[in-house]
Amino acid sequence: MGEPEPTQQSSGSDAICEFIGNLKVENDNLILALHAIENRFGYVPRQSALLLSKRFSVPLARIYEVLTFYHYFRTTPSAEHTLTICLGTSCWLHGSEKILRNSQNLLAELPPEERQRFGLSEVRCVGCCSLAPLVFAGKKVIGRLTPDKMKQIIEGLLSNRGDIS
Amino acid sequence: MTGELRVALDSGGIAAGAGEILEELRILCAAYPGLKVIAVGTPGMCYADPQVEVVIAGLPQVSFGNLTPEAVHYIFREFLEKKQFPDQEFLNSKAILIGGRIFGQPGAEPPQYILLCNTQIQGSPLPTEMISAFAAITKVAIADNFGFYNQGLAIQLFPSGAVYANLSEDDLLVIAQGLSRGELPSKKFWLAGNGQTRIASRNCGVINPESLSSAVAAGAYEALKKALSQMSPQQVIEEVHQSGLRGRGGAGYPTGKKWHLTALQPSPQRYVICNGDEGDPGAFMDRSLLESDPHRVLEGLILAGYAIGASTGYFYIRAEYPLAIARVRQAVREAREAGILGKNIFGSNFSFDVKIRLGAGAYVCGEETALIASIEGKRGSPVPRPPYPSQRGLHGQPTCINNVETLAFIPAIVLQGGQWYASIGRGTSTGTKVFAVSGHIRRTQLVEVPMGTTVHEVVFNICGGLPPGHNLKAVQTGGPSGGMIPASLLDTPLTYEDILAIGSIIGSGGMVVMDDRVNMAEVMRFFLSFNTDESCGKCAPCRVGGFQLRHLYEELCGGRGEQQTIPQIERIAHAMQAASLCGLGKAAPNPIFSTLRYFREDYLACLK
Repeated sequence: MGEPEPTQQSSGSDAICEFIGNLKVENDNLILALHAIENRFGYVPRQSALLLSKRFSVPLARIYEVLTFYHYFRTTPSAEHTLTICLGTSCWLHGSEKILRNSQNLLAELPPEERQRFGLSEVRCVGCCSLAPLVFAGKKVIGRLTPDKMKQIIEGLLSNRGDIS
Repeated sequence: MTGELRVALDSGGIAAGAGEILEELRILCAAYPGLKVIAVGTPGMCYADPQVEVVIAGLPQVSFGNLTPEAVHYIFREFLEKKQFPDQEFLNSKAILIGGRIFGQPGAEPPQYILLCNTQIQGSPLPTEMISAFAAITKVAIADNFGFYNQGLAIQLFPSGAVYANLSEDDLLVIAQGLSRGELPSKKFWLAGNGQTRIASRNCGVINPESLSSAVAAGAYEALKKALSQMSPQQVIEEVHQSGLRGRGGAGYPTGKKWHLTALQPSPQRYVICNGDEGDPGAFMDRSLLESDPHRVLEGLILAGYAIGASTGYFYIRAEYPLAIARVRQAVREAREAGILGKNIFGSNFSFDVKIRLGAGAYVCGEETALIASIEGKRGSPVPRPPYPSQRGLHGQPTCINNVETLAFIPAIVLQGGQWYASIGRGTSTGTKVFAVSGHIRRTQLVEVPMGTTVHEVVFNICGGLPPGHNLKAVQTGGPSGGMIPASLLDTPLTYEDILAIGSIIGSGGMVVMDDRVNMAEVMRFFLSFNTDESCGKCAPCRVGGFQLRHLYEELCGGRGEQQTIPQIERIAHAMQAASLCGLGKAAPNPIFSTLRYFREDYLACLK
């Protein structure tokens, strides 16, 4: 409980019912179903977990057991701007931990309504080590990052400029 | 103009902007119907992304890297249209020129194009009079690199592609004088290769990974045809057994033996699984193979299915690799349409199909029993072995799990024989191994070398050593379960036994180079944050031990360590190693022992 309900029309209650109703899942594979939901809604809404529980005839606790085990699944909607910093060994050697800390500080200084627009997280190596250190801004990869470049990215997103590079 | 331009569009290339380069080239090539622009996977030289390899009749087969759309226009005009090397000033600043990857035999014909390179790490640039000496003969340029280092001055002649190396300036001048009289360089300088032997990664960067016909033209599924028409499943297992191939995922268990044990089990249903849950940070071998040549891995999986008597196979690929997933899906779809998957493959009585399952961000799922639980849709908690998956695995049936790279070797072994494969490598570490070299290294790249090649050769002679200014401190192999190889032991051959003997493991093939600015206790703090995040929490030694170790390292690195901190770390690490349930917990202390063994002074420095 306690997760914010989806606000967008497309992830409303009816959309979730419809999506789960149409889900074709091989052998009732729970993880495949969760991937499909995550892809569609950007997270796994509680309502979808409840519906899955009925559909697969498994207790809700078992759905959450799986859901919370895997880092990939989210139980809350993602922010408007997601920034995912790679903490693989190569990125770490090239200073990604410092960039992560700087970014946290930078976001912490923002007024709450602006801070909420950002979701800052980390990932453990995406195998693009020649671009170290790197960040995913949404789905776009930006490599050879520096604290300054990261600052520009955040400022660019704040002013809604699409020209991050 | 006829030929092709190969743009490396693996996820690293795309992230570096290769998509834009591809579009630019397609527009430029529209005027030349004989010229094809194809998207290939990575040729291994990740440092050069975005990059293109030029394969055009009459032009030297070379690559251009670090491209921008503007640079592409210039290269197209100068090199493709005017048939001359781009201006040296341009090559020094706007893009890099990499010598031909194919080292030819010394030909008899006079060269039309010449590339020069000083392969010494941090060697001085070639003097201008040297370049003028060759410019008087034919078109000449200085290449950024030839794919190898520390072999003096070198020259590559085209069209033969022959490379001559270990030259002094005087040797080069003698060669220039000879060439002007129509004499080719002395064969004693001829170099057959750059130290790499490509088997698993042979077609990476060469074929279009999204096209079955492109893979077939490069020999895909010939091994499968051979096996289904001429070999019994037992014979396939026998070839793999003879090859001496060992699991490339990290454990190094003999693949033939694993297959044999699974095939032995009396069961109507068996499974084969391709483990593509590449989780070690700094490892990108499997991503590159799946993105660049998915059909080779698929063929390996089908052959494994045939050998052990399975009718269903699984690809388990981590969700962080969306492009690998997409390309495997495409490969499976095309193979199914072509009758390479499905009922009675190639008219034989063998039927086989595959399913694709995605990981969801859990490092522990690379462990066999956790992986099986994850495929069954459960949380990825390991269970004690035995029973081994070969006895009771997926859905309780005998299951054979092989790593991506292991499977990528199978087609070549079936086609060319186990004896051939076993003739490469060293001792019981046969064949080749793909390594992903990254960190403080000049050329972050994928290399495939015969096992037994030394760490030094890979790091310095193939990847060009460290960027100027710092010295090598350690090479980390085996990810957070491996260890550190200190600079003093770089001559250790890369075999399972030799690397184990110095306290590390070959692992899956990640090789992270660290320079002398790195404190090893800091590295351990970082690794332990990884291990505690990834511990599944089932067994206490890993869950609690990892947490306590992480805490101790945070104290140590934060300057709050005490005299007993190091003995405490050692005690907990020993307990965790002895008592953990699965490989993750058992192996997490490995780098602790390794750093304490070789870099205790880094720990002591934290105490001061």
